[in-house]
Amino acid sequence: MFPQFGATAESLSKASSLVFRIGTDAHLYDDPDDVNIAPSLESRYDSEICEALKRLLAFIAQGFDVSRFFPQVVKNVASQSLEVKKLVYLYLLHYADKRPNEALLSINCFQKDLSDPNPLVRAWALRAMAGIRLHVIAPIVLMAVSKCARDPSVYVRKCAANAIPKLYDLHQEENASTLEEIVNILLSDQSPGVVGAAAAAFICVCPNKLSLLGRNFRRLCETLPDVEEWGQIVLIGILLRYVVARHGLPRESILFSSHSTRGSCSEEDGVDHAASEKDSGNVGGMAYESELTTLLSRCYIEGPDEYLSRSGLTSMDASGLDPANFTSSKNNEDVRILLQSTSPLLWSHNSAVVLAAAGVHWIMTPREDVNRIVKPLLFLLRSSSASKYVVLCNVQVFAKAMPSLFAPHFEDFFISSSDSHQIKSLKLEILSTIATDSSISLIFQEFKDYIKDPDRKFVAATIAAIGLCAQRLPMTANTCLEGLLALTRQESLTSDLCLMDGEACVLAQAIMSIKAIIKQDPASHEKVIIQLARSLDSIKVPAARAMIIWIVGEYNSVGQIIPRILSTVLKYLAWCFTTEALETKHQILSTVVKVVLFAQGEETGTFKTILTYVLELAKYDPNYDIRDRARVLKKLLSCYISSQVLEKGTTCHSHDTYSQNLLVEHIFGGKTKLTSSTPINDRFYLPGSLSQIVLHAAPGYEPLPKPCTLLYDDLGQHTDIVQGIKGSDKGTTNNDSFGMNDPDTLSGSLDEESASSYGSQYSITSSDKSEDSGSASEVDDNNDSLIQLSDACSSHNKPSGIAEEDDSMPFSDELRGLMSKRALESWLNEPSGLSQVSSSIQKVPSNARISLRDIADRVKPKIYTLLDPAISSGLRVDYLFSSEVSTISQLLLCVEIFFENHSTEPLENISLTDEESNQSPESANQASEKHESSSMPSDVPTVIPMEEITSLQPGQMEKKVLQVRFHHHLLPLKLVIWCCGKKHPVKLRPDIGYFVKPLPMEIEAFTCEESKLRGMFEYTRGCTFVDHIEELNHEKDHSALTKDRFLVVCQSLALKMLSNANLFLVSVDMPVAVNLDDASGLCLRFSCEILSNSVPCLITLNVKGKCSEQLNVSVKVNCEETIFGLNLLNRVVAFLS
Amino acid sequence: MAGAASALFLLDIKGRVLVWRDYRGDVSAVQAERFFTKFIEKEGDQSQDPVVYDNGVSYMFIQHNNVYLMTASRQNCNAASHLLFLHRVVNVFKHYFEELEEESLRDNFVVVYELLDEMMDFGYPQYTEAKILSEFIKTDAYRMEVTQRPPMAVTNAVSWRSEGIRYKKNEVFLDVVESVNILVNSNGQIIRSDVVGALKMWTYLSGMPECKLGLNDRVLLEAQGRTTKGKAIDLDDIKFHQCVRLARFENDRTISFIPPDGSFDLMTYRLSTQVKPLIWVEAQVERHSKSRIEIMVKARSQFKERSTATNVEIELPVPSDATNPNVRTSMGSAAYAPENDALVWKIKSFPGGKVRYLKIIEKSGYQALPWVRYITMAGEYELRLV
Repeated sequence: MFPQFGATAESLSKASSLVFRIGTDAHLYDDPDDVNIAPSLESRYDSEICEALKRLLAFIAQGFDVSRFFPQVVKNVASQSLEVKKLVYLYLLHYADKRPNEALLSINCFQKDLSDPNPLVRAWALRAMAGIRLHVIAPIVLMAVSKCARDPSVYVRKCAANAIPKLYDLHQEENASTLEEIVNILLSDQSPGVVGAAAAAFICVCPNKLSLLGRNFRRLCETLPDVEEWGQIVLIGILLRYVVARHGLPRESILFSSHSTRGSCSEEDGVDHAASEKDSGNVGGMAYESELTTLLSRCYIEGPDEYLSRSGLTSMDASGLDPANFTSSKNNEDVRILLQSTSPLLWSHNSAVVLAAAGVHWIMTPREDVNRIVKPLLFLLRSSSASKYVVLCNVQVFAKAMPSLFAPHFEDFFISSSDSHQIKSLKLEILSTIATDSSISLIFQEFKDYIKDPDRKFVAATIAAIGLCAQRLPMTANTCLEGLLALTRQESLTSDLCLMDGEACVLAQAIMSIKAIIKQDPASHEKVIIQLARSLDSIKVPAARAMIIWIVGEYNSVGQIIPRILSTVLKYLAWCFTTEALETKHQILSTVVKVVLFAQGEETGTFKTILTYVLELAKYDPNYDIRDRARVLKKLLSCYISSQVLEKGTTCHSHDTYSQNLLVEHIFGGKTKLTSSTPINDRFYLPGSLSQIVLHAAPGYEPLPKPCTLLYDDLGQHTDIVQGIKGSDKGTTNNDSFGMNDPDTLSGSLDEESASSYGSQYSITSSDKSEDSGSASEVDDNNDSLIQLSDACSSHNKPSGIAEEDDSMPFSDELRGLMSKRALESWLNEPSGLSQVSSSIQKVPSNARISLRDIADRVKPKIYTLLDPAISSGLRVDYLFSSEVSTISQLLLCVEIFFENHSTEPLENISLTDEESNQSPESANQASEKHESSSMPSDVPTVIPMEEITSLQPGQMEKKVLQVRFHHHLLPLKLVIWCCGKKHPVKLRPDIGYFVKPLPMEIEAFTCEESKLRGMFEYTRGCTFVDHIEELNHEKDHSALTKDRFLVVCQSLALKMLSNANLFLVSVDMPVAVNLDDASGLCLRFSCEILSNSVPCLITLNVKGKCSEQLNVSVKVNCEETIFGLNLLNRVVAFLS
Repeated sequence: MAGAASALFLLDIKGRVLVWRDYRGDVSAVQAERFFTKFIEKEGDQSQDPVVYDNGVSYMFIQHNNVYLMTASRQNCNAASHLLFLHRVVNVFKHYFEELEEESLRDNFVVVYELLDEMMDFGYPQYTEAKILSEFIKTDAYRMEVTQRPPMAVTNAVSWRSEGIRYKKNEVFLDVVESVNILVNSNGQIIRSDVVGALKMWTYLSGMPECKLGLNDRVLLEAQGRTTKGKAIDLDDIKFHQCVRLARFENDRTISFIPPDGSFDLMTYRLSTQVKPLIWVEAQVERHSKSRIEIMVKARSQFKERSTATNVEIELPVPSDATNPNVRTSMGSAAYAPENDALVWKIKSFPGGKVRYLKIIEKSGYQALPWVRYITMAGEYELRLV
């Protein structure tokens, strides 16, 4: 291409290598099955794995299901090669929702990748993880997103922004508030690339939360030109919505100026338009225009469906908008900035950006400036035909509302032969709306060319456009009519020879256009009507004939000549009636009736004879519709017909005939009403939207927000929140800030499930109140045996332990020891005197450690119902999770099952088995489940079979221990209870609290372990705790001796925890504070290890609030198994609150 | 307003899915394929509506060679942006595979997947510049140098140029490619003529050069107080590449930019000046009998002798039922092509807008060689004859 090729040698070599590599993957696509894929996936070489993955991709592309390789592929996620990683991600995303269990295996790898030093790896991991559509991992993705939203790399932050819509889609409303916060953070990002993606997230998560923009509005406007193009489109839309919600629509804009300041706009318009305005006909046009713009603005704000349905009831209310909702685009700073920042975008390379920017100007800019959108829009017509179509759809609306805008550029809408049919008809419609008296002649010239086009559909559309032009510009009506009449003559001649479909449609359209023109001023077009009537002989197309006959009937009394030719015409019609098509027959009937009704003078008799004749013919017509119509007409018009037979005998039934007359005249005489302004019911949607093109509200279409609905208060409030978040970011870790700000942050799908599954549960502790309180009063007696206070900090000889325990509160050892000792003493001896002592140690909180003994005796695990006696003829089966640990396998859980006979007869042969073990051929998916489970690492059976209970007497209860392996810690296990030969399918719901076993450890070990599991492995959620209040009230009523409130709180918390999960209570730290009632600082630590893999899991409860009131408990879980940890956290929160 | 695409499909000419990428999982390939094959069957060869709504899903598609590209969406979305995105996809594929057709898609389906992954995320368009993408996604030939970092381009403030580019010889090539659009009606009147031009740049420059382009723009010259004796042109319809500082142009009409590396379209413009058609065509039609027609076409060149037009193509529409043509030509050759019915015209050398200067400023201050040349071609060139 260049004479200077030397310089481009390098690029040439690149190009040649590009050529060389073409076709390298083709064999994989065409024949992906020629190598055994499974072994190569296990290969040590990345290249072989790549090859295998590509083959899998080829299968996917061709629509084969290759999900059976899932486990092997997922293993490769840990690969170091970026290429392998990428291919694995592609595969993973395609099948993740089909194989949720295996997909979860990859999560830990993603977690690892998220902290990779390479931003590319982080970003890809985040993207892939967010793309896995599984509810279970949503909390983890949320964590990752909130972390990555603060990543130093722009690319990662951008990916985080992109992940938000995915998360929202998966999770819907649950985490909306957290997501909103992240969106807000990303919107205030410094990098334009991130802002664009954040805008897309905004529109997805909280499109109406415009208050988020308040603080950022100006900055967003400034960065707008730098945002990447696709982001610009979204951002423009958001900014527009914000300004409308905040300030309302500008008074000077095209949408309002036309009806409020109609007088002034004539000066602004083009010369030709101003001249034509003096014409009387055009004032009507102006009124129409203003009505249209009103409609347009209402449609934009309310959505056309809503508005039109409403306006159908009430009359069109032009000034329905509250004037307070207007703003000024000249004086309002925000509006001005928006316009200023979007106007350079009209020069953008991207046609969608231009369209979006044009939309903003269309709505916001003052009427006199709106011109600037014209040329950029017209330039878009030079792009691809598909874009051209979209642009024209929008231009059409603009042109309708303000024809003067495009009027000087009519040439750009001339049609070229390469345009598609849709584009042609759009252009014609636009041409007919923007034609002015000065341009019409050129346009007609052009139309003449179009009429010669071989595409007859297009010709018909052209003729319709001519009709529209004539209606808009009455001056040209005569020219149009002449042209159209010439056309009909020509068409009718040719149609004699060969009657093609297209020709018929052209001719019908021509007559239709003529009809429309005549309608406007029938009197002056008398000759045209006569000409048409004459042409009846030559025109053979039924639709056209029917229309001409209608015209004759409708205007039978117009002018001087028509009444005179009527008899001839009617005779002709009567003569050819039998040979006509159906629609023509209909028109002949009504025309004859009309003529008879309005006939005066000597010819009336002839008309009546013709009517009788035609009705007679119609009576024997093959078509039932015609026959019926003839009968009805005959009855209705009996007086007219009969009057001919018995000249003066009508008087006797004059009363009847009078009302008949009225009726008839009403039916056929309602013609003179001039339908001057047809009701406009066009639908308008926001410029650029899909809805505007398909002309109905596509799902998710949102009109502009209601003007001025966004108040200053909203803005201010939100700014505070934002700053609050900003502040907390610096102080605490990310996880904390999210946990604190929103207690619902981490509510996963577990919450829903627990709501349904735990609804039926009842706990012994709550049902057996009396027993419980009894034990409590017992406890009171030997108070000091239950509680053993030890000063956590008084151990001067172990300073190292102290440092480990409470690094959050760095005090000097002595001081702390001293204070706590004094505080403790006073608390032990004379609690009431504490206030005096504590006054000296004000504001310095201190901790004391208590140990709760005997609490294990009081732990009452919850009992769940497995089988209700009502369903199963009297057998009641309950179960509780035992704290025992299975001796067979660590994957098994021990469940205590209670069988109780509630019926009056003994029950026999009771057994409990796995659903799969009874081989029923009915369900194929069981087999697949089995296959799936066999692919799991160990072959532990789902249920260790339980010995059968041969007989259970009425009222008898039997306890069995069942060892069960759950496939997943959230999914219920399907079991079958057999009783007396009957089968009862039941669901055993897992309790994640029993997937762990207590892990005894010292407090030092605990803190040490905890410090290892920070960051990604630490999750916090807040909840409230109220159980203790009841307990306290109970105490008050029963014993005079007031038990320490702290103790009650500690006990109820610990009890609650231990009754719901198999944990070890490590320590209870309680504050020694100024206020006795203040429970803040109370800290309970629990430890456990996961049964299946012995991974330790630490739980810490931090309490805030007053003893006598509802407590705020912040639950923290530290666990290496992130999913498990999160779900456990959710469970703990669920049962605590 | 800004709904996202649910899935992207690449279909063959019969509407069968070649490659599809699911972004949101709410439109299945089977559903889309069923719709599209039916749609094509129904519409036949006629030009189709590019936006179709069917059963809750909006389909938008374009055709390129023997491939349909289609997005499906369940939400209200920006139709213009989706269609444009499809065109960008075509451009990117062309950059990678030279030509986008069914064969090349098959050959490179792995890269296609990678590209689709990078160009759209969850239905939102991302990077659609082939230049930037080729830094992410290497084809086999480059595989040795797998990137370990995201390219500078994505993290930079200047998203279209990476830092640290070096060339021994710094050169810029500027092609002014103008296409002439003319519409002549049957009376022989030129009813519409305009010129759409593009400044195509090839830059081989080191570092982060700051370029300024001066054109014979009337507004600018008048603002500078220079005389504009017919040589200046009115630049009113313009579109700039993303690299041009639009705000700056708005203020003082200087075109300043940091160019991307390699080739790109700096700007496109439209001039609505009267252009004399370079080649004039006349035709006479004679009907011999009901089934025989003779058309005589005369073409006359109207430009200077020293410049020649090459690759001139005249297409003459004939009725679709025409058979058995008998062609005689005095120059060149003619053949009956039953599939075409439009008039395409290619002409070389035609004077248009002039580049006055091209300044390149880089911190290191090297010498760069700007080369400028002019090419003219015909765009939409239509003469109605009968």
